[in-house]
Amino acid sequence: MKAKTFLIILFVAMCSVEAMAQAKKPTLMVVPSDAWCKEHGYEQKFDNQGFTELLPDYKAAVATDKQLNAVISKINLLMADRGFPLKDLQQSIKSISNLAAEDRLITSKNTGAEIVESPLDRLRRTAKADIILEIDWTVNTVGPKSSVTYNLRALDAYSGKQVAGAEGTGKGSFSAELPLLLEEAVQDHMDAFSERLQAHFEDLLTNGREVVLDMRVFDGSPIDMESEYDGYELSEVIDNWLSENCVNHRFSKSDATESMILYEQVRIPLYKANGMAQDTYGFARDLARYLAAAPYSIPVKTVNRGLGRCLLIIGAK
Amino acid sequence: MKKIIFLMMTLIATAVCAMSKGDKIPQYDITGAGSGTEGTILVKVYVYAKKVSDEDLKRCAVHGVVFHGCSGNNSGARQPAMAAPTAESDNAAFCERFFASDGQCQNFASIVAGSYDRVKTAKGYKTGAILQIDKSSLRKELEKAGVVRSLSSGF
Repeated sequence: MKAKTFLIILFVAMCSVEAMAQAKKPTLMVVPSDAWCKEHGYEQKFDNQGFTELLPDYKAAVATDKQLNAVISKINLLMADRGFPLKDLQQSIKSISNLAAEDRLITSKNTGAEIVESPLDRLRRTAKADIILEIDWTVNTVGPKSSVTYNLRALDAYSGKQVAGAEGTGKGSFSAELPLLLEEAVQDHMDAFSERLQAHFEDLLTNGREVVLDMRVFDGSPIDMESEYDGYELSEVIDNWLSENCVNHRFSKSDATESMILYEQVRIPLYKANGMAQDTYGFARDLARYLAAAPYSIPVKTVNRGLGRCLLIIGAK
Repeated sequence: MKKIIFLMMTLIATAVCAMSKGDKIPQYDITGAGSGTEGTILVKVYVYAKKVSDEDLKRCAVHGVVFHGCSGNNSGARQPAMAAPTAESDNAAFCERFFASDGQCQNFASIVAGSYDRVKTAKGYKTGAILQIDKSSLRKELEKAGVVRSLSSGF
């Protein structure tokens, strides 16, 4: 009887482990590098409070450059073969403008009310991914011989770290056409690239997701990061909470003043205590609940900035 | 009676040893031989043995792609090993069956016609050929068996 009970418990435990073994999957998207966009003239001017800035124009690039689309499509295909389909840049740009147009036309059947959209919502409506695969290539010509220098980098959108990469110059050819050289470069470099990306994912699964937490204070709030609780400043209270809740107590306080703290390389567990997959917002909400409870009773606004970044604003909701 | 049993046991042990030795992957070298069509890779394999069959060339090529990787294709990119360094010992039973002379590995390699090569070495001869490996199907098969980890495993 005891053995039977033990076997049932073992089976249930194994099932629950299986059920929770699904961490939140990062999204990946291939984009051309800034240098490539500049070289090919895909740039747009942006007036940033009186200063003119040049930004890459992805919409124009994917709408006109067939070579770029072929390279993106090839990378998407090879990654899908590996069981990791990517977000497509062209499709993301299209769906953003289509959905924005649809949202503007939706009204309530009863009251005629429109969908609420804050300026922040509008600003955030851009093509984004958790890991950006930045692609760049140059065609080298020496007499009749052509070769391709290829560079593919995987950049974590939140930490800004390069998590994988593959680059190199091909042997070159007298007869092969450029699209063929490019296709060859993409195909040949993909295995080394995937190997490094897999190493990054394995590190993430072992040591927790590396995320960024921004802490700010609302204007007019009586509380700041130097407010004291039982002899400890608020920033120290937050440090202690992070130390207790991060994987292997790993986080670094990159910058701190009385009105802001920037925590980088914060290693958060992939799962909550109940086995649910966890992202940065969920982790930040736990911190906000801790600060909202006695003895601190501090209201905290949490703003989700994606799978790997969250903003916490002290002093109000 | 004891002598007969001892003799039989010795014979069986010898036969098992001979079988396992015969099916062991021979010593080989592997290098890249250019970019194949989509999902494939071209490799040059040299096998060091007195007698080298097509099956030996094929299994050495597949074994090399899975556990050693190779370098030197047209784009200058290294082809890393598909599996982790410990995967072969962790999945010893599967690998023994898969890389046997008549094992499943034979389905993922084909010899490029006219590419056979035989070179004299200090200790005898090495026999080589260029082989095309169906990398995509091979990876899928090994992912199914748990020898190779999928990029999305854990998510």
